[in-house]
Amino acid sequence: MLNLGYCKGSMSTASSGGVSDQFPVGLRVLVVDDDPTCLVILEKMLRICLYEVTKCNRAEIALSLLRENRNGYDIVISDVHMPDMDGFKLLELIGLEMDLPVIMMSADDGKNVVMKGVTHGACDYLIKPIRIEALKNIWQHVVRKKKNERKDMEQSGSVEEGGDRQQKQSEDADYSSSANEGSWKNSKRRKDEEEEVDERDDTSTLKKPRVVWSVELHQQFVAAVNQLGIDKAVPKKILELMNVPGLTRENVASHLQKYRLYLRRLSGVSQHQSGMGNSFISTQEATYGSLSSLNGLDLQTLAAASQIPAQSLATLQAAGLGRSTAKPRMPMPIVDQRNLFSFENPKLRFGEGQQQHLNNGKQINLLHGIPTTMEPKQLANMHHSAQSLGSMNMQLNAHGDQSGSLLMQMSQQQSRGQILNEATSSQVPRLPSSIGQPIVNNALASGVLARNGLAESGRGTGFNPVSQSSSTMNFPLNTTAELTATSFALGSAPGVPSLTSKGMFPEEISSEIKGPGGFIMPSYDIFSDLQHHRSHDWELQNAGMTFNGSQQSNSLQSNVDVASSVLAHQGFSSSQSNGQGRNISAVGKPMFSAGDATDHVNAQSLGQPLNNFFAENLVRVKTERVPDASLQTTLFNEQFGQEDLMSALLKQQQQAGIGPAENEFDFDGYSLDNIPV
Amino acid sequence: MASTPLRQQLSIMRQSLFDEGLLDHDQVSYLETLENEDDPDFIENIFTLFLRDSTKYIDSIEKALETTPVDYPVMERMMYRLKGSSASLGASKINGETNTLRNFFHDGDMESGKESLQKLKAEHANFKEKLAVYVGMLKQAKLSEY
Repeated sequence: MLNLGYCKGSMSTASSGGVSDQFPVGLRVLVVDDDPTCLVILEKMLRICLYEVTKCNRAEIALSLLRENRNGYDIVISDVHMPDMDGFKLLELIGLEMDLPVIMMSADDGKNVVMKGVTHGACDYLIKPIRIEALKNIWQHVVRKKKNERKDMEQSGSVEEGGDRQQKQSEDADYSSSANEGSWKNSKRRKDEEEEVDERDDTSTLKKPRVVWSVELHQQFVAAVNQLGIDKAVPKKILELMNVPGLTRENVASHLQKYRLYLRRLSGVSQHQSGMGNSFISTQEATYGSLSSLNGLDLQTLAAASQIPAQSLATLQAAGLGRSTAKPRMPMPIVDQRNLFSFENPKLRFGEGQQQHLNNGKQINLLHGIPTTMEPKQLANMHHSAQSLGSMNMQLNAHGDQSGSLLMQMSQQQSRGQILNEATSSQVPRLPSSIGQPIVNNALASGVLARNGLAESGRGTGFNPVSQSSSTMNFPLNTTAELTATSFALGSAPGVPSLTSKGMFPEEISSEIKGPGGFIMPSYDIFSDLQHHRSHDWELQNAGMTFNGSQQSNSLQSNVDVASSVLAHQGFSSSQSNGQGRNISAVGKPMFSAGDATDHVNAQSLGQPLNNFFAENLVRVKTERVPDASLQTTLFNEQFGQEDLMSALLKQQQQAGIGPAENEFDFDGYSLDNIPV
Repeated sequence: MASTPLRQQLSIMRQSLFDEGLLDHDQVSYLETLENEDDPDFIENIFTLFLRDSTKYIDSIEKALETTPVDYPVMERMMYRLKGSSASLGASKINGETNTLRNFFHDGDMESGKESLQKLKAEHANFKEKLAVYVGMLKQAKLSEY
């Protein structure tokens, strides 16, 4: 019989990282597999290794177990295919929320799938049938991860990323993405004092370390400003209040300047906006449920990364706001795609050719509440942005296969929110539904597809296995154009990373834009642009993701992963927290939890800080909005057709009684025809 | 364990399962080593589990094929699960047939896929019958030894 001695031997020395001497005996493993036979066999093997095993056969159950007991597990082993959620999505979420090492398992041994696992940050990838030898050593992943994290924390300044990189190089290759994620997570999660530095800027043209205004950091900043009173908030005092080591007065000063401009725009743009802004936020939250926490910053970031179609955003906004911007689901006309992209980076390039438009430096203020990403001139472009987004959206849609990335959708929502504030004509309906969908995740790729009429089956004879396989990068999202927004589940993001992982970044991105992974693609462009332009140091940083300046393919990948993780995370959070059965199911139910003003999940999501950020102004409106959102969400849940959603949304809007403040928005003139494809 | 007649019979049957290619010798032997005093019914349990689930999976695949439009996601999930569990168990023929089936469907060859499914069903029925007998004998042998 195997093993008692066998495993004991392996645990001899593992005491680094603060683990007990008995380690790895008692290592707490959570194993997730939907096949009972495999689950039992695995459990058996793990028990033989003297690990403490918890089984579960659903990804959602696994997540809730993990969430309930955050420190209750050391490592997770999961199959890549789950009925309720794509394994890669789960992987991302776990990495995002709990920062645990995750080992992926699969019955398939295709290189693509393995690559996917690796690029998504899996510590290891096992092919079934699994032997106990493979399991004996999983404790090493736990130790390694702890070690990396500690290292990340200790490092400061621009060295951090460099350190990570060195670390990565010396570690297993397949751990690198974990390390990247780890470092990202570190910056997201570490104590507030830890300053985030442009981790990936090092090799960019900019040499001096720049401050990354992460969501957390920005939140602290805003708290400090509010405490002092906006009029009295001087950099020096803000700095003191924030008490972030390494942050300089100059950093705060420039950030403050931007923030002030942002606020000015906010109040100056329209009165409605202040109201709308609230509603926007609340709408967003409603729509996104827990995602709302992500909100502006993240969404924007994400949007930026993924080139959120302005239209979608605006539409979403409008929908959320209940504005009677009853545009058909079709993406809003994209009047000026350029504007869309100015949102995060001037260089947002939307995939196919539209990219050029985007690089005009204008930034779309996707979210009112997201000052970090707002540049003065960007604010000015909001109207345009919305339009651009709309066009972007169109573009996305036009690309048939492009599944709406979650990012896009989210950002869409975001920008829409803003845009809607200004313009009421956006056709929101589509967005909410679409947003709901993609948010969920990879799995949602199928889910989304399903929502839109089963993309998979829609493939006709060419039966395509679940989108998870990289071979299915091209989502058969031929269902509806809006799918672009909707079908783009972050879930599809996994595909993206794999694309990037092939090392073909920019080119691939452009060409791949068509695919589901397309949305992510643009972000790569952005990245490279960022590197060069770095005009907005916080833009992409907002969500805490090191999008910018990631010149390295590794970084990019992890960025994307992060983005998708974030989105996935959010999407999942919303579904999780929702409890309304908006679970991530392959059926493609909208994931966002509309009524989820309770940001309970937010705690875990990146957007949490953002939420708070807006909280002060938006609280009351938020609550009001929630019902609307939930209504919408509910509707979306049930309805899959664009038209259905459209009308539902419109109905919602009407019911909500939110009068459109069209007169002040430039969007009135939207029309699909304007889309300069 | 004493080599009782029952045990001998078991051993013969087990060998024939290997010889017929229904079970993979290496994998099954490996699984058998995992069994210990704490869990003496491990092998029976997993065989039973597999028999139950594989039947379900195959039925689901068939149903999915019959719906209009074909429920590909379900089909894929079932085939994938069948692949994984049969591999983990060492049910080689079933595993092989499943792979063939999957390939046909992935390629879009519905006709061949359907044929292959019928073949899988036949294999599975045969496997089930024999394995059920084997598991029964296993249980009996254990009981008689307590």
